[in-house]
Amino acid sequence: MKNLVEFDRYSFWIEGPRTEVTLSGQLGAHELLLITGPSGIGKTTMLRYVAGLASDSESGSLKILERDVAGTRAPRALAMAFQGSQLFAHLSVFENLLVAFEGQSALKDLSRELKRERMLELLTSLGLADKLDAPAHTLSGGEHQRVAIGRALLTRAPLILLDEPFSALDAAALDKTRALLQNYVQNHEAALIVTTHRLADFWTEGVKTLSWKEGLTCLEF
Amino acid sequence: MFSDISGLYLSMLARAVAFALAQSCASVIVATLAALIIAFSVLRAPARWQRRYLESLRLVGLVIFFAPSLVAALAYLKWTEILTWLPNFGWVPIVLVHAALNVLFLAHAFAAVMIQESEAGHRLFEVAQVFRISKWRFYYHALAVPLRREMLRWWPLIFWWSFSSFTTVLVLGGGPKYSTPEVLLFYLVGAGDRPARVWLLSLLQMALGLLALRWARRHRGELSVPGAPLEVPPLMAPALGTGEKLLRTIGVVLATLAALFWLPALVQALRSLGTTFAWAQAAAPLGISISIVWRALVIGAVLVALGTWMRSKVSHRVSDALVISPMVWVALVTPSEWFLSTTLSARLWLSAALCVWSTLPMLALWVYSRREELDARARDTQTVFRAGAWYRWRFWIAPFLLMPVVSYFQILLLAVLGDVGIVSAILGSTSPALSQTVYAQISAYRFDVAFTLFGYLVLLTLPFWGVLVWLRRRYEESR
Repeated sequence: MKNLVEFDRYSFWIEGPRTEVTLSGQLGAHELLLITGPSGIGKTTMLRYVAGLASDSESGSLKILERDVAGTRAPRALAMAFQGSQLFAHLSVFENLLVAFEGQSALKDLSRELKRERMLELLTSLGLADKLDAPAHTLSGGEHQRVAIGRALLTRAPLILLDEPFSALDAAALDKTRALLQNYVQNHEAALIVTTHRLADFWTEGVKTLSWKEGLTCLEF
Repeated sequence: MFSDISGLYLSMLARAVAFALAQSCASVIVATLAALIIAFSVLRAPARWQRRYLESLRLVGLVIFFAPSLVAALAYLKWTEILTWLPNFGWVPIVLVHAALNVLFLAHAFAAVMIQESEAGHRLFEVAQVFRISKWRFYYHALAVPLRREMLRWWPLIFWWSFSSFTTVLVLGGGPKYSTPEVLLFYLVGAGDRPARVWLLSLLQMALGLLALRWARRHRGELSVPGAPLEVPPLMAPALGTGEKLLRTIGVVLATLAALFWLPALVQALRSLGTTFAWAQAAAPLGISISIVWRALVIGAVLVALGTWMRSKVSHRVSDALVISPMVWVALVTPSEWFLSTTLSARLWLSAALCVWSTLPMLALWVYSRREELDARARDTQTVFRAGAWYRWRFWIAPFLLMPVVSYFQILLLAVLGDVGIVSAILGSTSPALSQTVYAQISAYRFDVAFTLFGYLVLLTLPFWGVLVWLRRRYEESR
């Protein structure tokens, strides 16, 4: 199986415990990497490094689609759903989702109708079909989180990073969102990296797990 | 260059600066104390009234906060007709009018903070009861820090508006007896005084402006007009003691007085519309005023854009100096030989620069803080999703700038329509702006005509209030 993502002694600096962490492992298409560990250990920071949001202390190698991006400001072929959703409250859901088409040349030139159609299809799977034109500030916490996940999936990026994606979801919403994510991984040449406290929320096939324990600085999966 | 500055002039200047400092500090203190008492009356208002009380403070406070100082002066003049002994108090009315302009707005900001903190403070109330700590000590410990932050945020702005206030001081009989630097400048420019004096004065104004700006930058936090009324939590505090009841009553009385201060003038203005002064007579001065407004908008936009660029590329200090510099350009030009032969258009640009001078620091602070807020929120999304320039402008930057820009337009419009300023000295009497026309009527003791014009001012600004309310609902309350 072709590797989508390769960490080869990929190191980054975590400010809280003031430690350098080294990560090694590979992730192929249709695979899911679950990262668990106690709060504050650096799971979110790790995702931010992978996303290129903090490239200043990266070293080693991080290859996405065989392209080494560690320590560079080069665009990375990925999308991310942030823990705090990072939607813009002054925009509608539609306007928030539009940004997902911006970075992909194949998607950017789609007509507005087609973009809307794709959004609607996705929101329907998430149980939010009636929210497309709603102002983001009227959504609940769980709806925010689902829209943020939808925004990441709309990019059709080969690597999707999700930071505690189910933390604000009720049981019904969790089922729908999990099904959508599983479907995405199975039907696209894509992989997911997810931080979570609850492994039981995810499927088991094609899953790798990284248990990050206190004091551990060399991580491998 | 400054060799012709005499000791007499320096002492005049020192007196003007001292008076401006004293009256501005007094205005800030009076407004703060009154606002604290009013805010307390909101905090301990019965639960069913609290939200309405807070919303009323916000609406009335905002309208008054943006009121032109000429309107404030007219409101005071109306009171002197009712209470004839008022003018015997020297410069005290100047302080009271400046405080009246800011007090309700400030009270809303304080009350919002108090209510927000009181939810967290509810448990402290219980602890205070169990350990028999007095309620006043509780108020101090629970509210002092957030209130201090709020005060530091708004003081420089209120101070600056009082310090650079011109019309109130002039109309209320302060000038030339109690000259502020602005009033002194008005007389110097009007009298065609020696350039060095005007330059020295403008440099001094610029230095003081820079100090106020730096202070505001250090303490500003998120500088914007206080936003949506909070979801008011029911305050399960112990029953009111006698002292609290008294303070709450004083707060309600103060809030009522601050709101009623404007009423007699407003009633007379609206009743006299169309009776004593034809609309046609106001049209030409209004045209001049509008010409100043659009020029001021251009100057303001260019300076803030340059200032924003300089903040990231050069330094904060240079950027601040640029934003606060229009007074110096005007001071350099007006006493020169060239000024005597200028066209009306050139004079309108100079007048616009002067209007920009007193209002631009607020816009600059607002835009800078918005930009920082936007940067923090958008940086991650931008890196991950790589939004193009059009998307960033359309969906992030434009909505974030819209509110400051429209508010600035409103402030400028009100400033130009309602402030006499040394615009009079620059434009001369042949092409007066609306504010000069009103002032001329006041100087001629034709108060009825002045009030009619005041009514026009009120009507003119109504549509802009509508736009501001819509923008606030659309963009601000969702942030």
